[in-house]
Amino acid sequence: MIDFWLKYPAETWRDGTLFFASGWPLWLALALIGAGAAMLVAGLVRRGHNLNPAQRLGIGVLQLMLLAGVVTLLWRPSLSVDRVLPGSNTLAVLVDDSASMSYQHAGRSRLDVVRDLLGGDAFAELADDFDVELFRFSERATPIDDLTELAGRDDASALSRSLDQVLQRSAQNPLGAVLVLSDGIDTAPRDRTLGQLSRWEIPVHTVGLGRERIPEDLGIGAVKLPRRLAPGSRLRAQLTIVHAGPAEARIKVSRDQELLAVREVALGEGDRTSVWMDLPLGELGHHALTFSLEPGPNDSNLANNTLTRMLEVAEQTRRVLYIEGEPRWEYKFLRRAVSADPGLELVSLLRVSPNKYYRQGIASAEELEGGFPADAETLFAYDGIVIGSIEAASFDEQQLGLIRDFVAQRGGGLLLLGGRSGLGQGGWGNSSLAGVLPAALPAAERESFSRQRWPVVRTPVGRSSALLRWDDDPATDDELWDSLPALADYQLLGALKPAASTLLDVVVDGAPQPLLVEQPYGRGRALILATGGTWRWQMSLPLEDQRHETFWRQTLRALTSEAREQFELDVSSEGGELSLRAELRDNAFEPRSGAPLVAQISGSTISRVSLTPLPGEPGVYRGSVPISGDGPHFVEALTEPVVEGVTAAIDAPKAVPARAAFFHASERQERVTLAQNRTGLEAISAATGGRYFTTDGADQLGEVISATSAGITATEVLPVWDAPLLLLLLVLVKAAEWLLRRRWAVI
Amino acid sequence: MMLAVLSTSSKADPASTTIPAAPAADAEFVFARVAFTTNQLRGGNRRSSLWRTDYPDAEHHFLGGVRRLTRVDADPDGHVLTLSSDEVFDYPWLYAVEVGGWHLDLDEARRLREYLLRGGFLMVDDFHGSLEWSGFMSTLSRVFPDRPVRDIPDDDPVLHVFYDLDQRIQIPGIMPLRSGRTWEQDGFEPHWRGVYDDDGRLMLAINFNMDMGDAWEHADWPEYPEPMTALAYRFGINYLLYAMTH
Repeated sequence: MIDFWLKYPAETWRDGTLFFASGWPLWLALALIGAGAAMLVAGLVRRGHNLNPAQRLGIGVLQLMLLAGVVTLLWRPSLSVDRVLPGSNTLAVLVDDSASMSYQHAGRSRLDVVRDLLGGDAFAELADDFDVELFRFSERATPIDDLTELAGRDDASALSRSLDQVLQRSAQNPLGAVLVLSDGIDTAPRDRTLGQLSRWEIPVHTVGLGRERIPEDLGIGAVKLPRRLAPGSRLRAQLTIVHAGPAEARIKVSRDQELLAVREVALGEGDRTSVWMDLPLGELGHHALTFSLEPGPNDSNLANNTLTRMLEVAEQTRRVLYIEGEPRWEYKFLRRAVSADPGLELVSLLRVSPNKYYRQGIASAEELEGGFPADAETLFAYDGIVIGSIEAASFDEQQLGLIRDFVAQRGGGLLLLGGRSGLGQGGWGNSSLAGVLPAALPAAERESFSRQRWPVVRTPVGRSSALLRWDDDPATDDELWDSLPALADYQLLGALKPAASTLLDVVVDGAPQPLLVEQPYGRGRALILATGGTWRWQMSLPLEDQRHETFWRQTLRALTSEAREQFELDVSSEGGELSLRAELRDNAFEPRSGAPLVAQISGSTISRVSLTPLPGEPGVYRGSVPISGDGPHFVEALTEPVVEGVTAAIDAPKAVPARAAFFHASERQERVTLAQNRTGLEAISAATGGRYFTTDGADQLGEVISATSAGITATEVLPVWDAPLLLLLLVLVKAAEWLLRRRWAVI
Repeated sequence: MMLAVLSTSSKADPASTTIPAAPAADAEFVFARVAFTTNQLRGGNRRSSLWRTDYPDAEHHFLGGVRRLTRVDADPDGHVLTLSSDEVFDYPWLYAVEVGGWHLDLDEARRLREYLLRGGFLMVDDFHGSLEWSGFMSTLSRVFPDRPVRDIPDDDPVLHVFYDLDQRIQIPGIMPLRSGRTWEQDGFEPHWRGVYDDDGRLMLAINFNMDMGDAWEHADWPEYPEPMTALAYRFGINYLLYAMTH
C-alpha cells in the first residue's frame, strides 16, 4: 500500500533524506506562494461580493493550499537514499543448523522453510545487488557452498557468537548486511552483548522461523535445588514447567533406577508454572536426580521432558548463635531438640542474672567471652542468630548494625522469639533492626506477651512449606499438626510487612493471629516465632514423639539454609561450554581478589581451568572451558595460585575447596523449548539497525536489505513529486473547492 | 493414690493433707511440690501430710532468693500437685521432701519416669539414714528399675552453672540443730547424688542426709546459721538453673 501511494517502501522513506531536486532557491518558492496568496485575496475581495466572510475564507484557504502544492511539486521533491552498489558488497546469510531446526510442524521442518525462502524471488533480488556468502551456524559459523550442507543435527546454537564471528569479516570485506534465518534459540552463554554486535554498524536482519507458541509441548524448563544438602534434611526442589495453557502433568523423580516421588499437577493459564516437590534424600555423596514429565498428547519434543540435576549430600555443620535474656524453658528445650542433630551447632549466651551470662555449646573457652560479638568477623562466623526474651537495648547500635549486615550481606538467618522481654515488649519494634523484621511490633509499653495457651494451625503457605512438613502424606501431616498441644504463651505482633509470609497461626479466641512469619531480607531471611512456649509440645507429648525436635531442627536448618560460604562456586553449562563463577570472601565476608584461582573439572576427562578476577566485581572470579561430554561432571576450585612459586594475594579464609557438580545433556540444551524466540531476534535487529521478518513478510527482504548504509553504497535520487498520493491530494483540494462553490451556488 | 482436695488458700494449715488450689501463675517458673502418699516405713498413710514438710515457707523464702538473685521469672507462691495427673507435664521442675517415706503407685511411677525422660527435673530433699534411703530406693526402683543412682561428681555442671559449689557441707534440719547435731538418724555424711539420662543429663537430684528445705524455711530465724541458708539457696538456684539449661 505504502509502496503504491508513496512510490517506495516505508523503510526507504525512513532511511532516505527528503530534499528538493530542482536546484531553485526556496525563498523563490515562498515568494511565489506569497504573491499568489495576495492575488487570491485581491480577487476574492473584488469578485467575491456574493460570498459572506466565512465562505471567502474557506475558498481562499483551499485555493492557497492548491497553489502551495503546485509550487512544491515544481521544486521536485525527492528522496536521497544510499543503496548498495551492485556487485560491490557482500551479504552474509546465516542459517541456523542446530537440531531445533529439524523440528517439524505440519510435515515441514524449519530448514524446509529456509530452503523455500532462499530459493524464492525475494532472495533472487538480493543476489542481483550483493555477493552472497552462505553460512551455517550452530556452535560457530561455517561457510557453506549450498543448502544441501544443512543437516539440522547440532546440539547447540550460539547465535550471538556466530554473528560476531561473521561481523568481524567486515574488516576485510565490504559487508553490506547480514541476514539470519533462525528460530532464535540461543544455547550459548550471552558473552556477546547486543552493544558489541551493534558496534560494527552493519544491519542484521532476521527471519524468525517456527511457531511462537507450541501448545502441545510440555517440558521442564528448570529445576532449582540447594547448593548442598545436609544428611537427614528434606530436599525441596522447585521445578518450572513450560506449557501453553491449562494441562495435566505427571512428574516423576528418580535416582538411578529408584523412584523417589511422583506428583500430579494441574497446570493453569500462562506458560510457566512452578511446582515444589519434597524428596527424601539422606545418603552422603553425589546424587543424580532425574526429573521426568510424562509426555502429553501430541508432545513431539521429548527432549525437554527430562532433566537431570546433581545434588551433593554432605556433612555440613551450621552454627547458630542463640542469645537469651532470661532462663526459661524454651531455652532448655530448644537446646535439647537440636542437640542430636549433627548438622547444627547451637552456641548460646544466656543472661542468668543482671550481670552474668552463661555460655553453652562453645567451641573454646574464648568463644563469646566478651558477650555478644561486636565485630563482623566474630559474628559472621555463625550462620544463624536466634534472639530470645531480651531487650533491644541490651545491644548497642554497632551490634544491631552487625546483625542487619549479617542478614543482608552474610546471607544469615535471624529468628526472634516471643517473651516478656522479647519482640514488642523488648523494644525491637523501635530498634534499628525493625526494618529487617517481617512484622511491625507493638510498642514496648503495651502488654503484648501473655501466658495463655492457644492452639497452633498451619496457614496454606505453611502447609506447602518444607519447613513445616513432618510427613510425606498430607493427611498424616495434617493430623500431626492438628493434634499438637497448645503453646505455653503467645505474643501479639503488628501488621505484617509486604514481603512477609505467615507459616503458622495461633487461634486466639477463635481468630487466627500470626505466629511464625518470615521474609527475605537482602541475601538472608528474617523470621519471628511469637512464642516462648513450644516446650509444651515436648513435655506434653510422649517421649518417642519427635515433633518438637523435628520442628526446631527444620526451623534452624531453614534459618541457616541461605547462609553464604566464604568460598563459593557456581557452574552452568551452555552450548557445550562450562562457565564457572567463584566468589571469595574473608572472615568478615569482605570480597577478596588476588591471583587467579584454579579449578579442576572431572567428567569423562579431567581438565583444569584458570579463574581470573573479574574487573569491577571484587572477589568474583570467572572462567570457562569446553565440556568434554554428556553426563555428570564434578568441579573443584582451590584458593591456590595457578603459577607455582607465586604467592596469591588472597587472604584465603580456609583451605577448603569450593565444589560444584552438574549434569550435562547436550541434546536437552537445544530443546528446552522449541518455540521461536522472536523477542531475541527482534532485539538483535533493533540493536543493529536491521529488521525482523516473519516468513510471511519475507517477500520484502530484497527491497529492505538493499537500502543499506553499510558497505560500498551509492547515493540514489528517487523523485517523489509524481507520487500518486500527492497528485490525489491536489485533486481533492480542487474538488473540495468546487463542491463548496456548488453548495453555496456561487459557481 | 492421694485424693486431690482443693482448698481456697495457699497458706494452709501445715498439718492439713489437702492440696492448695493452683495459683493463676503468670510466671515462667513455678515451684511445684509433689504431694504423695507414704510407704510402709511411714505408715502407708494415704492421707499423709509428710509432703507438706516446710510448706509453704520453704518455697516462699527460696523463691524470693531466686527472684532477687537471678533473671528467672519466678512465681512467688509455688504450686502443689500429684503425680497422678498429667498436669505435672506443665511444670518441668519438681520438688519433693521427706522422700524416705514416699510411695508412688505404678501409674505415678510410670508418669514420673516419662516426665523425667521428656526433660523434667526433680529435686528430692530431707531424708536421712540408711532406713530412709532404703525406703526412697524402694519407690525409686519403680520409676527407674535399671538406672543407677550416682554421686554427682565435682565437675558436674550442676555444681557450677551459677555458683561454683566446691564445698560439700552438710546442711542440717532445724530439729537436730537444736540438739547440737547436723545429722539425723545414722545419716552422718551428706551425699549429693543423682540419676542421669542417656545423654548424661541430671534428671533427679538427690539431697541425702541433709535438709535444704529447712535451711530455706528458716532463713528468717536468727537461730538458724546464715551460712547454711546461703549454701542451701546456692544449691537450690544451681539446681533450678541447671534444670532450665540442660
